[in-house]
Amino acid sequence: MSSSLVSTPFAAAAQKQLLAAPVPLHSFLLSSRRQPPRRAGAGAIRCAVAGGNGLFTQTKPEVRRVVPTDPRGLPRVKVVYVVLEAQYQSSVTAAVQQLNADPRRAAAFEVVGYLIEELRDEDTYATFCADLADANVFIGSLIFVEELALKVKAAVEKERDRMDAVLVFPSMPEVMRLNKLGSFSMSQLGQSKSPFFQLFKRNKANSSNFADSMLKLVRTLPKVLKYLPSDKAQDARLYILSLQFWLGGSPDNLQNFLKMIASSYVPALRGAGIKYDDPVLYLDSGIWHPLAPTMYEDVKEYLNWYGTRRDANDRLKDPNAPVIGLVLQRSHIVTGDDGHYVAVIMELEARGAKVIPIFAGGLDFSGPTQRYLVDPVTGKSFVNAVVSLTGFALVGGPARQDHPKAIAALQKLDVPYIVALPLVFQTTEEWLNSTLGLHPIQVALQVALPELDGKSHALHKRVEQLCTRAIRWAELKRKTKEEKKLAITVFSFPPDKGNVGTAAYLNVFNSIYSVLSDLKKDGYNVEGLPDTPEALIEEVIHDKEAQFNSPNLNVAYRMNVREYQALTSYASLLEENWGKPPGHLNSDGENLLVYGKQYGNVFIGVQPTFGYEGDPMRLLFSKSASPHHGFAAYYTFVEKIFQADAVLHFGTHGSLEFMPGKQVGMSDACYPDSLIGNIPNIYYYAANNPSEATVAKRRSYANTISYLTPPAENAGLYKGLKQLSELISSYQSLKDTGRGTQIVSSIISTAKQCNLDKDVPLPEEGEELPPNERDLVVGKVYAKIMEIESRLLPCGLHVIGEPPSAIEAVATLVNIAALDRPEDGITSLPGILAATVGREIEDVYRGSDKGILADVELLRQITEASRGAITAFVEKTTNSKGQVVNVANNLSNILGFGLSEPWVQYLSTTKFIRADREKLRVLFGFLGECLKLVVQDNELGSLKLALEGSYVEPGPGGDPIRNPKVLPTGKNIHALDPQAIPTTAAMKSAKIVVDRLLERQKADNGGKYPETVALVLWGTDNIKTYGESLAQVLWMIGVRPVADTFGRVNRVEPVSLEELGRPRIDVVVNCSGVFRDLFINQMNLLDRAVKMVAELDEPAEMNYVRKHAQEQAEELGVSLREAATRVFSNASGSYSSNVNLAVENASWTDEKQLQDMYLSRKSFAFDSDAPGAGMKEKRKAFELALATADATFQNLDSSEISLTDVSHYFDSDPTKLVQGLRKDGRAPSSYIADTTTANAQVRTLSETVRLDARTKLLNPKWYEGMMKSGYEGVREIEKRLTNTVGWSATSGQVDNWVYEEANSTFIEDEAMRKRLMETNPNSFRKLVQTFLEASGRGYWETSEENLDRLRELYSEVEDKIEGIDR
Amino acid sequence: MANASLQSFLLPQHHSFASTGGSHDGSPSALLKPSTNTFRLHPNTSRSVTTTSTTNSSAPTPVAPAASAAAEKDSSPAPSLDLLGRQLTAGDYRQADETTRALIIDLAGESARRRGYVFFSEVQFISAEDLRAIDELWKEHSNGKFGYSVQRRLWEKSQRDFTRFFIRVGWMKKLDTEVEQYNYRAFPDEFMWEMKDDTPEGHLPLTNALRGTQLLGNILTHPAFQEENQEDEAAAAAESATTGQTKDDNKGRERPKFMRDFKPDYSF
Repeated sequence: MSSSLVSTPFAAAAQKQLLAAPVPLHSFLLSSRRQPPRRAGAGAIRCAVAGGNGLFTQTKPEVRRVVPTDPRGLPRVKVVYVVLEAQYQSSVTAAVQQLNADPRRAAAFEVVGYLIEELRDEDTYATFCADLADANVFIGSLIFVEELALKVKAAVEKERDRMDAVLVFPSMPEVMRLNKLGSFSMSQLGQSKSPFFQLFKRNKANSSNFADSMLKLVRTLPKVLKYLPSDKAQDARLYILSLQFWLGGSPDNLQNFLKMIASSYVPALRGAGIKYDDPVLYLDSGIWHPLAPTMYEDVKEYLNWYGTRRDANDRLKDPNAPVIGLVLQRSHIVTGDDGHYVAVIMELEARGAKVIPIFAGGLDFSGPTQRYLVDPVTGKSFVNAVVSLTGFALVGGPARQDHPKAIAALQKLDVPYIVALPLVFQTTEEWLNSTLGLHPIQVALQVALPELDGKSHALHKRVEQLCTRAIRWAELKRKTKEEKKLAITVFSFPPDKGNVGTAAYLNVFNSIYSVLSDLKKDGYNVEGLPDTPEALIEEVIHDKEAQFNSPNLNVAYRMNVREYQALTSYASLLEENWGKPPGHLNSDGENLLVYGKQYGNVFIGVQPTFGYEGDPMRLLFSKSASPHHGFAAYYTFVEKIFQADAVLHFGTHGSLEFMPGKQVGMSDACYPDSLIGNIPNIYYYAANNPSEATVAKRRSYANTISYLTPPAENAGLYKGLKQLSELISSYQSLKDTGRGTQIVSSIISTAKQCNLDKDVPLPEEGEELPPNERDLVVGKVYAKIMEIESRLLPCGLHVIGEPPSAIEAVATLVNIAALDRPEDGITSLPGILAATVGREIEDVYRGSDKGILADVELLRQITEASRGAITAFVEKTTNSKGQVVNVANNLSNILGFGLSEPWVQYLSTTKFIRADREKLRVLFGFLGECLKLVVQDNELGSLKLALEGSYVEPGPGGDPIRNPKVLPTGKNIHALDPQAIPTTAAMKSAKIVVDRLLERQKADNGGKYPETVALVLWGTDNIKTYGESLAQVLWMIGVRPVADTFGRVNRVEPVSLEELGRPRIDVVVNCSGVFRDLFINQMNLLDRAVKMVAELDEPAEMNYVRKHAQEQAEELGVSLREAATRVFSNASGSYSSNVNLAVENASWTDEKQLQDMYLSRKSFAFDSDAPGAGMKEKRKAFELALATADATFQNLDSSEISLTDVSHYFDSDPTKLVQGLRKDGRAPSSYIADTTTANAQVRTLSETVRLDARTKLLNPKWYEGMMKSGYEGVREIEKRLTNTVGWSATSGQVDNWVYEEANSTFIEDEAMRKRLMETNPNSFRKLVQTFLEASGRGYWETSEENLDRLRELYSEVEDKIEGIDR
Repeated sequence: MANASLQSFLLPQHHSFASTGGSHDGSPSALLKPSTNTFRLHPNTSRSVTTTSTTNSSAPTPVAPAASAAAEKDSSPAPSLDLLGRQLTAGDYRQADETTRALIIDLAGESARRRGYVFFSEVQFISAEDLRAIDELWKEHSNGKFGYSVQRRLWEKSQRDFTRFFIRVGWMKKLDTEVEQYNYRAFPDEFMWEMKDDTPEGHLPLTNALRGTQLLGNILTHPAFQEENQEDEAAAAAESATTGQTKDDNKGRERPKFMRDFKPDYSF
């Protein structure tokens, strides 16, 4: 499959804990995730069981309640605490039990603790409030989830005056202000000028500094305060002491803490003479080992001790043993909640790795990593790999992280960095922030309660895997290039010989060839590599024209069943779905077959596919399917037989990471995890697809390396469209002569031939038009063809290691230059040019959209001048070989010599001669930087770094036009902070799109607003646009996002109807599976927004959400709130509606079947009232909501991924489905918003399909570009046609002429069809078959002659394929 | 809810860097010598656990104070083979299990005692004789059903895969879910403390895997249990051959129709 859009990116780390089942004991703990790229934190999706009680966590506070049984009339002190993580619970419980057991005690302590996430549950919250009602002391710590912080605040505020003490440790300011210790309070937090409060104020933007400053304060202040006499200082001193006790965390410290607070502030105990000791302070950071007699502050001392260990075996003493650094949280160590740490240390040591476990008390671990893991003298790491078990980003905490700082630290370490998630009780996503991301509740987490030192079992499997993986990554650092074994995995999707080596925008075999040639030079053993890429293809697929059904790829290994079963621990689990091995797939009936070819230490293998592509039943129910034996055998071969040191997945994307994530046995993870085993996974991934890259990272522990999409070009004009352009040009010069009328009728007839009549209203030929109407008709046609002409398309396929030449980058730069970037003080080039003729560019866009001839012409001139100026600039900054020379130097040379800049020289030949020089200089300076990045070649270099076990720099993924920071490629892709979206800018753009959409729908639909819009949220789309489509949904229902103190968007508020000026439009939101994985908080936010709007007391005709929810509540017999369910997606762990798979394989019988598939897979709702329950099937609600839809809607966010480029868009299109569900049976309007250019458009789906067909499938520039890539290019052409059929199937919005034209281009043209057949017969056969299918399914009406030719061709190609094979 | 009891455990406070208390007496690790180690698990501690955990099966029930744990520790009998033998003779597997764990800690050396748990690399310090003595007692009082050597055999049969082993000895239980899944049993209530017909072989004694499986792995690979190795492997091979067979037959019959009809159109 190719590029996907689907989902989201970012790695996140989540810590969540769900307790599964009644009481697990021990739970488990670790899910490992690898993330070398640090920016993205890590998050792992682990599949787990977890039932849901509907909350983020299923724990109950009652496990944290201790009630004294023997009060003996002693004064009672009741303490209520709220914490983020559970590690304090055992320590607090132990402390209180010890206090109550003391025969000399003066008080009886009752304590109950809550985890912040538990307060989501209304019952628990009520218990919490009830507990507070008779509490003496409240303690809170690390409360950073805004909505929950407000709940805590509300509850505690009521009792604050009555309580004896309120202690809040680092948390959001709202909660911090609750502090009260005698005369000490923090109520002025944020307002006071005192240095104490300034501390909070200054740092509120950065919690890592905040926490660290707080720690510093803890260390220094008490010494000073001790000697201050006043009561106030005494109270402040006790606060600081409290914090020290708390951070010291041990039961002893907590006992003394409670004694201190009780004796100082509980009236009944004053003067009772309770004695307490000072806090026992631990090191803030250092090195800890469970066997060591002490903590170390010096790594040399630690290593000395390590060398003297009596228990260590020879392997561990070997000076060549790999060394793994562990990063730990101090609080787990001091509170004794360290079972998972000990487990990892034991596992690593047992596997022969030395361990340096470092810890820190703050949230900034970058300092300690430098201090303890890097040799200060040589600057080299002591370690070969680092594993973080903190669950946090390296720098930062619950509120905000400092990624640049983390990256700098990791670059110094320059070793693989792995983040494992301790599943400690904990909250979740909300507080985890961004880059760290978060994640999924639902499915995904394992949980564990490491609370007990009982006899239980920890997630042993996770620990083993984490440790093995860490060691394997560390080995990359130690092994020589010559001995390293690399398994390159290519994809074949859909399963067809013609598709071997599929990857979005990538010429896979040429790229592999280029990579291997380079590795060979670098010293890797690539013995026997053929001389050309073509020969390489031949050898891997053996005979590319061979018959498709036979095992005709080159067989690299035959694995007998016994061997397979012995080496594949989970093999028996696959039998439920696939029977006993070997099965039918990747099998010769006796053995499992691994396809591929080995060259020295490099194996090139073909990844098997899901295996159920051709099976409609499976597509429908694949939710619980598993990989087949052949799939498992492939990875078993790679890991156990070939013994790869690393696997390189080549291009976007394969099926490994989309394997069902059902868990089988708690100890085993999901299938992607079992399959990839312990092999370091490196993944070449398209830079424009951060969302799915994140899935690859999370689910298959991949270190991604981004590659560039091919350079874009303008679509240009051809055939009739070109003639039209010429006609229009002559009309403009001759319109006032007598020939005007004649030219107009030629324009009209040519436009009709080009099928433009559906896009532009054209008068009858021969109809006499007044001059101004003639202008308008011509203007509209002109605008349309300009739109086609300037559309960007990636031409050809990218080859790794071959960056575009500078001149190839021109079209990309023109588009980069078309956007205003106010944050950088950059004005767009069209804007600058329009200003020289006294116009606002927005105004020109609007005029052109309306077809005002003068504006269309002006816009064309602006576009042309932009291209010319940029071309002139690029030519001046490139050398004779077409490479960019140093842009900055060259610029200053140009300026230094007093010559005018190249763009100025160029513009002086146009009407825009007076363009603002200063603005141009700023803009071109920026473009120069972009140009340098575009042509930079880091893709090979980064791969080599990864293979050497070095750190690969992380970077954002996305659209280079919107965000040039995506460049240069060769980075480990990450997405953005999920809580940062939607941004204010995104909200602004969203309003424009929504307003245009509603206007358009009103215009098409008798002036009525749509009552409901059904739309899709994509992960990639929202990453690239910082949440524009999310913002669109919010604006439709009339709410706006509200950011909290840390800038995180966790709340919405309604926009008044007056301000909105229209009814609130109801929505049905279909979230892609990847969006669900990456933006679970935003789903939560949306659902809350919808429910809030449904509950607004507003008239039904002004609030369609409420109107429909009321109707549905009645029909379903549920509450209004429950009826207001609008946010849907797949079941957890499942992706896509599978309509795409069915269409790609032509394995469906009728449209009804596709619609059933869609409904059965997409009707899982998210419920913000039970966020921990994950996705719940609510098919009835989904159908009822869809039945109200008047319009369907999707966004196109970037030029290189359009409607027919990928199968995802039609996969999620419900147009015909809605028609079937609507009571009136009317087809909804369907729209596509196009925000790929500065001038955002809302078009109907059929307009967009036509535009796409004209600029791609039918455009000689596009298909010839593809043909240049040979074998893979033919497949690309076939794919566009298949996706077009997909649109016919789901929406019916494809015009007949599209198929007709395609047929004449690729089939009627004899030379063309020969080329196709020879280059890739398998893909050509699929092309012919798809044409026949389009006709057979009634989507294309054509002549018998055409059909006969196709049938003939089909048998011809079939014969050719089979004939050669036999 | 049942796990409320877990909370009442005293934390083993093993951080020697901390100045927290614990007088660690340096008593030698003889089996028969009483130890006053504060943090050791011993029968009384666990008894309090049992009590609390059984009380809270319904609604929010406060955990009983652990006072008893602290108070009773001095009077608790030190773990010894003798004590283990008596408990096993009495059929008190629950206490015998506690005693066994305490013995292992005792035998592993002073630093394990101080820490309250055994680090995997300390298992080598336990003599084969002591370990076998413990094992013999278990086997003797369970008709050969319990004991480390029994576990060792089952573990080998499971190809040393701990997940399979845990399922086999009943330390994990099948969950009642759509998909076949297992979860760890909750301690102590969900374990089987009586010897019945359906109590799985090798169910006792329990070894804590909260800190991973290396400790258990090292006990099971201790030279004390080495000899039985070979015959185990043969038995394992034989068994997997037979079970594999039966299983496959069943699978074949149960394959859904659409699977049987599924044509192998896609060979890769």
